[in-house]
Amino acid sequence: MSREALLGLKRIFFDRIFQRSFWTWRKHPAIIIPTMLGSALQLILQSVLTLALMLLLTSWALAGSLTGFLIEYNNSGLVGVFLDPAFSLTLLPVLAVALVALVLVAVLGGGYVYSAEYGMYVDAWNRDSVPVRSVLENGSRRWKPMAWTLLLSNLITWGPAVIGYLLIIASAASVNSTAGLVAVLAASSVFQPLLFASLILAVFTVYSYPAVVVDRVSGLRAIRHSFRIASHNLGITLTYVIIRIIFQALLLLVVLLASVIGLPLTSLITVVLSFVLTPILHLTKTMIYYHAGPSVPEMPFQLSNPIWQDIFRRLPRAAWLKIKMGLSEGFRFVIGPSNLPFHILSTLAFAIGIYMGYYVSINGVAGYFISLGYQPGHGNSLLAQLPLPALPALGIDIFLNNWLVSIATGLSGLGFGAPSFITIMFNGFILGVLVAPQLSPSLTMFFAAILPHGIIEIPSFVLSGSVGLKLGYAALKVRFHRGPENDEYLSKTLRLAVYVVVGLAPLFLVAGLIEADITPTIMKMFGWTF
Amino acid sequence: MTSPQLPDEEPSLSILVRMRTKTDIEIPIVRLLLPLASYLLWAVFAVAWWSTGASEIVGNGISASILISPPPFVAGLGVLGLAASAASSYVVFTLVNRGNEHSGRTRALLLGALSSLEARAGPSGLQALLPLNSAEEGFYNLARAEREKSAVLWALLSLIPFVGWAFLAVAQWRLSRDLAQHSRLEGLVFEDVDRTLRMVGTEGIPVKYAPIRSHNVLGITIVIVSVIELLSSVVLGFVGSLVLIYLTVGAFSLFWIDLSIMDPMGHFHYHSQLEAAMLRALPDAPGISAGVA
Repeated sequence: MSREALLGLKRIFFDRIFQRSFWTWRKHPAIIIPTMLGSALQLILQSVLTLALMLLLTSWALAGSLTGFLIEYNNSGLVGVFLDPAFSLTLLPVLAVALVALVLVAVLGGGYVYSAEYGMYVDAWNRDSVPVRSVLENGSRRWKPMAWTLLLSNLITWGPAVIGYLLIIASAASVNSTAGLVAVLAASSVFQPLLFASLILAVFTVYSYPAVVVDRVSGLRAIRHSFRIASHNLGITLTYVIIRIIFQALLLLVVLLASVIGLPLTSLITVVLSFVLTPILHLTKTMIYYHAGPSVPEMPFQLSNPIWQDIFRRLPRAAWLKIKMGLSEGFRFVIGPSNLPFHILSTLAFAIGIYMGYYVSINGVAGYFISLGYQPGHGNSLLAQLPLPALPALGIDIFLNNWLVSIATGLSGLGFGAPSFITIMFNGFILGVLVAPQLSPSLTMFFAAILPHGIIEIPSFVLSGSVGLKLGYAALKVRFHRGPENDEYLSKTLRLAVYVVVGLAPLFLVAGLIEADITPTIMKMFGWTF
Repeated sequence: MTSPQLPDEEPSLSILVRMRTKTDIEIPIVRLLLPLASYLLWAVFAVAWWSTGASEIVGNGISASILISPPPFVAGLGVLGLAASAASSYVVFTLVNRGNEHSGRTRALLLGALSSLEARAGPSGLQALLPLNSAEEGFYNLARAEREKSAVLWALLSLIPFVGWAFLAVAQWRLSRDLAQHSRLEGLVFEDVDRTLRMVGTEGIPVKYAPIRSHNVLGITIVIVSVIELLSSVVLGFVGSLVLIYLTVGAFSLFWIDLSIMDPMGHFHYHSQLEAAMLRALPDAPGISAGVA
């Protein structure tokens, strides 16, 4: 029997690819940057909504109709507001623009992020070095085909489920009549098979994004490639899908059980999912697709180093080294004179946000909160209910949540700086709402609630906004004056942004622990009740 | 960071033989305590959950509040149970991965040996080519029959509370059957390799029949007992029969883990003797590089 006949037995081994994916992730930490960009994209989407909200509230406050709007909203809900021409004439155009912006940002931004992500995986698998620059190279290389594939793939996969859901909503409007009830029952019975169809389709379109970067196809061809590879390798595809589902379900269960005993773990699980599991699993998926290609030989037998020992011994040290580098990069960024304009601009965004928040608060929002039951001088009663040992866990949860937001704020600057500016402004806006005299009994009490942790947290947020603005400036330079020099400047700034936001982790940790453990005590000293 | 990029070429025979100490490992029997702890903790969890009101699920339909937010003591037990299950699933991972790595290394080793023999058998004429061809056919059958089970998947499946024990039993059954099949098929290839070696004028390898038990009887017993216990729901009630199934499947699975830890040790010992002889007969030669197993 010839060797060629033996070679015909090519198989794809899930565990070999999974374990090598872990080591690839360890060797090339830069592959988590696209995942960071993914959370930045979420923030950009949020900032579209927050900008619309801030603009609407401020314009109504300026026109003196904010209180009227809040009363209308309180009495007849969102439908009532839409039916009132005094508000709908402003509200509808803003919402329409926001909706279009959301879809465009989600599809085009998603195309860029996925193109960067999956392109990086192929590079990391086959190369010895993957610099931060390749995020931008891969992102700009195939973002259009990826965006088109993203749109089509989601339409085809989730279209049936969405149609079923819309049928239920449409029929629920006339549930009071017998015919309406029959329509609801019929829609419900149609929804289940449609949802099932979507779930089955999700298994077969799982390789659509890897197909774009590996086979350089797009749209329906990418989806067709995905169907072909998934059906020819159904066992390993199902293995991937089941592993993905179990990981997420188990993490959800941990969060649920831990929350019952007062341990908030949501942010920790988000970090694990975003920076560990998602890159490793997506890399695994990409490499399953890659190895399913006829020209790629079977992975040879190799022993992998034990993963668990690495996770518990070497990984924390490696992470700490990155954070230390981030701290020193962050320090240099703060004191660098050329960065002063960005610091000023970020601080200005925060200040404008505070002013806008204060303005809308004294013009109606504060009164609305009080009408909802907010008691000035009364802190979050959940804090008093938590058992003492759970407070550090709460601190860590706050730290991770804030850190994730700062990562997203910094990297969302790639969208020409605007998302970073808006996010920092929105943080100031919330603070401004709270500083209004109706909500804060005295300025001393307000500072007692904000300053203990805010003295570290607020400058850290402003700093992440500042580096985001610098990233936006670099992106604008590339957009309007394309050239190797500006490309290099953008790469360097992205690397700086990543290090700065990573280096902010210790600061947010200290701030989070203070916020959970010390701030409530100080608040009580200054007259707050819980 | 720490791990070098893995090469894309098959390692040589001597390297594969040296890998034996890492693939054919002895798993300490004390690790059986991890699944045992998980088994006990989930049993306690079930009792505690039941006693705090989950019985409403059966009596008055599903009580969403007790499902979504169990009392803190029960939730604490659940967190501990999940931690114990994670440790237990690590044992499952180790067992399945050991089976995969042993099979994978054996296939790579045999392919390397066959390549080496192919180069030597040419000048020896038809007498050596006949057993070599038979060995290649045997290897083809071995490679076709062996389908690696994902250790990650089975470890995660066995991590699922309660239901995981059924997956654990299935994983052990498949592992035992795969190892038994592997032992039988590789034995045939080793016999032909031995005959080819003798034909080309080198020292043979000590082939002996060292089967691994597939424990089909144990597997069938678990299925039958579980079905009987399910049918006993007429007498014990649905929940009572579920509890009984959990206790039985769990106990059998623990016993099976013990078997899976111990069973392959004889086979591994046999490999240590056989591979040393194979390496003596087929030392690494420059220019002989293998393809893909």
